[in-house]
Amino acid sequence: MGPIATVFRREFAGYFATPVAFIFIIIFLALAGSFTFYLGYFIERGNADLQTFFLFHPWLYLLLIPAVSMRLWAEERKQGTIELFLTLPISITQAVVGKFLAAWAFVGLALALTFPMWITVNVLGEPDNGVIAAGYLGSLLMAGSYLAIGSCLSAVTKNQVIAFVLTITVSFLFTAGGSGVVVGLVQGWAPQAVVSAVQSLSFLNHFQNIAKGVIDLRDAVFFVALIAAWLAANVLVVDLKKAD
Amino acid sequence: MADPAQNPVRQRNLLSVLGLIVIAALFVAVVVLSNQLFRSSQVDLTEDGLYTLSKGTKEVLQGIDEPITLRFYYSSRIAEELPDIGVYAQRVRDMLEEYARIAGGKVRLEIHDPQPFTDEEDLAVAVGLQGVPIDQGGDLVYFGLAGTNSTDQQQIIPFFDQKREAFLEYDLTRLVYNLAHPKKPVAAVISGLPVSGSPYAKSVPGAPDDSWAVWGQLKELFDVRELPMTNAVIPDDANLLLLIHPDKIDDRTRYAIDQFALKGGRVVVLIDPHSEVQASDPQMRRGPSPNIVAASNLPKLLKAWGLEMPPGDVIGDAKLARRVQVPTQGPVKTRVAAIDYPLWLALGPEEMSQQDLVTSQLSLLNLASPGHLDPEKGATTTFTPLLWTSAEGGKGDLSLAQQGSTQILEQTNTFKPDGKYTLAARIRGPVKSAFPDGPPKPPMIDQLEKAIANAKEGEDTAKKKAELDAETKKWDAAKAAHIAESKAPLNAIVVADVDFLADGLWVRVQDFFGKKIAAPYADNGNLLVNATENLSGSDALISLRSRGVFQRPFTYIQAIQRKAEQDFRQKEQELVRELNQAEASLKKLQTQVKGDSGVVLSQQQKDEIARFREKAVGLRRELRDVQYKLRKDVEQVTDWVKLINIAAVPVLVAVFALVLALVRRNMRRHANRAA
Repeated sequence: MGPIATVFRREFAGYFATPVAFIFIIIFLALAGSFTFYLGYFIERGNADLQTFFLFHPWLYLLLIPAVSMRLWAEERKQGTIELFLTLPISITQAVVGKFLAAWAFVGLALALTFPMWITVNVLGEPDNGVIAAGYLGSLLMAGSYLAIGSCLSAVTKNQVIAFVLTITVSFLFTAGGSGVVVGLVQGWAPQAVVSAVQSLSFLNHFQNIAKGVIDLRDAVFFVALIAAWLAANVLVVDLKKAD
Repeated sequence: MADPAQNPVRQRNLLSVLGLIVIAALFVAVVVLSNQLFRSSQVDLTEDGLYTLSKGTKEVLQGIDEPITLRFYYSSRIAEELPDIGVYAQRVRDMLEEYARIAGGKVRLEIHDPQPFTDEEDLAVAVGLQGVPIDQGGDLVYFGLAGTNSTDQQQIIPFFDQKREAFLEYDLTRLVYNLAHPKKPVAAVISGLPVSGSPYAKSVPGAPDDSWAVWGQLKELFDVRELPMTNAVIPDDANLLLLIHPDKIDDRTRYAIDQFALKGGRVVVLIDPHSEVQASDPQMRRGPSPNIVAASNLPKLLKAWGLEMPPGDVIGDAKLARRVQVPTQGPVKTRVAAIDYPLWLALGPEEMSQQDLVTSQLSLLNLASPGHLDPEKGATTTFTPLLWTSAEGGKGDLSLAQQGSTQILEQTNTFKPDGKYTLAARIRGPVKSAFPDGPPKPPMIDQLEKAIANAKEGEDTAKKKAELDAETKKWDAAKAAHIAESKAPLNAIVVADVDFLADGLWVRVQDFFGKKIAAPYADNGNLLVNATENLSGSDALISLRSRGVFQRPFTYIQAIQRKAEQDFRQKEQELVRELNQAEASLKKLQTQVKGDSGVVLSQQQKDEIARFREKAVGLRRELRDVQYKLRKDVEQVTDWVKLINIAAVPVLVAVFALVLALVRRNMRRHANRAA
């Protein structure tokens, strides 16, 4: 774990070296709050839960996480620091995992800073805190999934903007996979099994299940397997492109 | 063509691409496998274990003797068009699979995807499932369940409505239970309210069914037999007797109830000092409005069973009062005010016995002007309260309650809290007959005796005498069969309210493509069903009935609203009094002016009128301000909540970032200087 921890520390501290990280946190918090109150009608619903708060997380992540992940590898490649980075006594896998964990911790911090919402519902009423805890856990797992996708795609290109657009596109497919639009596109030509498979790959369905307060092993396995798969792909891509 | 094996870069690329394909395949394989393997592995973090099968369900499933087949019809197109319902359908399916697993082979699950214009669709329609059009093409989709038992009896859920998600387990378990126990217990019902439908709907063929939602629930659980209020004969096979608002009951029926209870029969009694449902319905009310008499009571029987409901008391509660909208005719035009009406109670778990199966799992009960129950001194039965008011309960004025909704404000203002009152109780124990002298003399005997005595000379009274003989023999037989003391302990539940059964207080009944779908928002129906089911002996279903009707309201905001409302009422009363006085004085002055030949007003009179007008305007403004403040208090809280959640932490983060940047700049300067 030594090298991973070293990469983690370096990367995590790196986030706070520039104002960009703070701007990300500020935008995330302001949007999460505004969506909850103005689009989710939190007060008007009058129910002490965080359903409307979590409702918008997939879409917020879809927009914001590619901005966090786009620099993970693209910047290293553009500036040529990747060669230097990989000459250090750490494996590509350790580097990938370390960077990913740092980004995940950073997004986790942003998520943790939404704690006033939790306090608010506890002051205003008597919420089911088990459900809220599950919501946060689900949200964190989903954020990790977006990040894993973004991390891998950021290694594909030297251009951060291209990495951003690629990540948004792929993440959108994973987010909206369960929605009518995507299913409609697939079912025109694919058999039912494929349509079901596409649906089961949607973040929305798995996240909704967890946010209801039930940690189903299938949902947990989905997110963990997805993160592991994209990180494994990330390792391959970094290895493949390191000399480019 | 060069051999890739000879080109290390190409070989590496090829390996990497292969690696990516393997990763993708592995990922899909893991997801598919886990979907198959981990169907029942979940941790339920909800406070009430909403998604975990309860003990009651397991008992029902493990107690199945004959196999049951469940056919789950679900059109996969629903998930494509309506992903939300798709997620719900997955939950239903998972739950059904869990049922099949727990039942150990006694429940067989079949899953069907009825495509349009196929035999499967015809089958779905034939069993009574509800097809719902999903697009303009007119194709129907299905999402329902049909269960059959070994004797081919069938139970269906025509369409799983997401609004009933909290009751999913109950709906499924009840369906299974009904199939496993095809013979329903018999419930005899005597009702003074049109619970089973209005006389009109019953007498006119084709008239819409206007029975109450609770009636449907009862009929699903019981073989219901409706009995008349007079001369009722309770069937021998009745497992339960349900009395709803027995306001015109006669002595012979009372005697029948007494004897039924003494034989160890189980009785649910719902009585009310003032039934709002009856009072508000011109078809039902017994007297002219106002001063409507809409009361029911069974003093004689209750006394024998060791309790009483004082007939003149209507119970309210300032703390549990429900918010109602009432038009108020103030000096500031007519307005709609939201006030807490103390006679309409919303009982929470704190006002329900947590030890009794009937009430322990209920979360919300709405009652309307209930009465209260008190145990009799020296009673042989145990009196266990099931429902009660908070410490802010109190007696309301029955005469005001009888006036109806126009007097709500007066009722609110005169209401004085004075302590806790019992609203429902369970009665258990040995009892004596309320009829110590045996069965009441049949009125027919009196009539015949009178007819014979008054017969004119020469009139043939032989036939009447024979009839009298027969009636007397019947009476003698009844006397001989009279039971004076209970053979088995009395088992009764008494509730001092009948209005709670009315749909308006607990359920929204909607027409869903021609089917009535009930979406309860309170547990009123569950209270009756729990009580009847508990007394008829099936406890298994009770543990899972009321899962998830939670309202988790913003109690803090409600408290502010309540406080602001109280302040407003008080201030309003003061101001209205002053305003009325001012206006009366002004009117008096104006009349006086007109009376004094009215041509020229003295300066003093003019000043006086101007002063009163000014005062009236000022008071009206003050009243508006108070009214405005009522909303402002809540708005202030919500503004703060929004501010804290949208802006506070971002501002703090920005300040932190700024401070960090400054500290870093200083450190760099120091470092540069040092260098």
